[in-house]
Amino acid sequence: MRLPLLRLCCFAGLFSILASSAHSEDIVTQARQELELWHDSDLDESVADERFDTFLGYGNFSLLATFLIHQPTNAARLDPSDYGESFEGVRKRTLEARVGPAVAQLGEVYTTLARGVGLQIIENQVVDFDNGIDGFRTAWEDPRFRVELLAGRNSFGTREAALKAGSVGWTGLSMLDLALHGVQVDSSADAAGRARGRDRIGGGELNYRTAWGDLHASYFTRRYDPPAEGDSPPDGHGAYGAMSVYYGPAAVTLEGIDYRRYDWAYTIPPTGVRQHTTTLLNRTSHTVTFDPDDQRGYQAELLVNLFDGDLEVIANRAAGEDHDGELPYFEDYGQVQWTVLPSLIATGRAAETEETVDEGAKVVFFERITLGGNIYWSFADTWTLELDFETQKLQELDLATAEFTFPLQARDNILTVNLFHAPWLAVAVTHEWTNDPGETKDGWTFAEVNLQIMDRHQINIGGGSFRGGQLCSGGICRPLAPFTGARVNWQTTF
Amino acid sequence: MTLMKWALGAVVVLSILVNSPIGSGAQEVKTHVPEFKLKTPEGKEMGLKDHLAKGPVLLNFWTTWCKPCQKELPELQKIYDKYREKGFTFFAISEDDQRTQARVRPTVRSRKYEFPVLMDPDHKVGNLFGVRSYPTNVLVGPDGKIAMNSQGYRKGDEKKMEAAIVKLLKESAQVPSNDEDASEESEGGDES
Repeated sequence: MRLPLLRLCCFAGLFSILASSAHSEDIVTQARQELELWHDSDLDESVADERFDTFLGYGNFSLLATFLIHQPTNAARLDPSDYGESFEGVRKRTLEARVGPAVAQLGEVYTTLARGVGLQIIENQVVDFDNGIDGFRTAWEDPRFRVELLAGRNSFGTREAALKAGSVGWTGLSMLDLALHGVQVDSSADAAGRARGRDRIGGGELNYRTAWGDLHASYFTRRYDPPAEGDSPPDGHGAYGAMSVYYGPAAVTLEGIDYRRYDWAYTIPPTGVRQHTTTLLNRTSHTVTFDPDDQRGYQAELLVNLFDGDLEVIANRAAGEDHDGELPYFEDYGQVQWTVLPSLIATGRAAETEETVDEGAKVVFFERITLGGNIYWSFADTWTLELDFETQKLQELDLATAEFTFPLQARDNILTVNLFHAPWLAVAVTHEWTNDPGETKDGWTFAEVNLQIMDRHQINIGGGSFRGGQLCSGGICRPLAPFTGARVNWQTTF
Repeated sequence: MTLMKWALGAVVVLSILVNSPIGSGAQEVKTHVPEFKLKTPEGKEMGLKDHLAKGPVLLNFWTTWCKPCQKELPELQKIYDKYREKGFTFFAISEDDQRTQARVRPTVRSRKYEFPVLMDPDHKVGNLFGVRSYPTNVLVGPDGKIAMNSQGYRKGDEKKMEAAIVKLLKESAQVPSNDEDASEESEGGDES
């Protein structure tokens, strides 16, 4: 432990000295630390993380570096931050030079092409923490034309992939945007054990914007080299389209997807499935079982705000299947939010979801009916009480051996009570309970306190048990790993 | 014992930083923020420094799926309406990624938000400011230094934010003297 602490102190000290000498207005410094301690009493596992992000800029140059100490007692069993195996040292570093419309980066580089359909190398993502490319990126962009080039190897893991990408784009008529993208990946092996090969992904995108609506369309093909024996079709493709139309306080959005043999590490395409805020709907979303190798579908959403926004209505339908017309899914979702008084907001929501999932050994049918509500009541000027409740009836059936019957076989429920005192305190208690026979527990209770201190410190202290998933509590939304025990998180922006 | 060492380590690191200019008190030397440029959903590019020349800039990092963000944005719209002509700039930076990016403009249009919305789908600017949860607010003074950084939304937070904005406007001599009442009213906690 002494050595990494010494390293961290040296790193912080060096940054401190550099920042101290920053008398010139041209020197820009930015730093942030995050300390997180977890202990899971069920697993008898602990995790200690200290992360120190720094930015140092001078003139046209800047350096970003992240020092990380990550010490899970067993990363495979408990790794809430998804940092991976134990690590001590400089985890990320990027040197950047920016001259006019041109930028060049060396180190960990990131980019997104065509809304993630062409390429998505994203920093600090929720899953896998980071999928950065260790290499070089350069881009040149003016109001009309843009060019981007990127080359490197995957920066973490076994570094089996070498990636090259190029993109050219043109903007015209102030509303039309066209781009062509190409990506080449040389890999020594992939997760499926395929031999060393070279895959090429190429395509384009179109964006069209007007006052009354937007249109986005992107289409890519993926050519495998060498092709895997027996794979059909030999090439893959990814297609995504989105169109929105506005009329007064109403907005209608349509999205369509079509992906075939398109699953690889550096594309995270849109799913065409609604991103839910609430824990149960988010946890059981089709996004979890989404298969970019064989998926097509659509999503339509209506959003209307009436009476100066006092009444908001959302209606959404998402549906899809694989290319053989099997493994179908659909979800209908509705939400009404009513500002009863300036100090009282009430929300109600309902959803029905059905999906058929190939779990390998069997094909399972799921049906879920979800109801929920939220009351947000402000009182005494700086106090707010918020209650959020969600209940989900569910059926999980192997249709080969059982027939669907009503009533549904199990019910999950979750209640979150938040008490806020602006501008520095939030206390939240979340209780989830279930009668699902497949669960080893029937209840989880998690309490947390969020403190905002001195305009730049945030402290979160939590304890109890949480089943895992997206949680909006204490005034913030974030994903939480399942655990039983205690956690402390302290973030400081300098 | 391990936890104790960790806590001790964190204290050591923070001590170094707090004793350095970058971590010293909010009223003394503060951090200069990095410049960035992002596009609006309509494709117009906007940068931080151009607007800092006029006065304080509030960066609000939000997403369409974040419930507290939806409670906070109407309050920030009121603050924007009140001080936009006095040099204050508000950027609502959408951190929606590819899964929800198509929702941003419909949300803004339907809710009739008039403040500038910037798109940060790959979180480049969010990462520059250490954003880990939503909403996160970063208030930058005209001197390019962070005056306030807060996470989450509690009803009433906007009053403290408004007071800080008014203070920065006064410091940058952007608030006319006849706005003293507004300033005092805000600092006194009355909602606009």
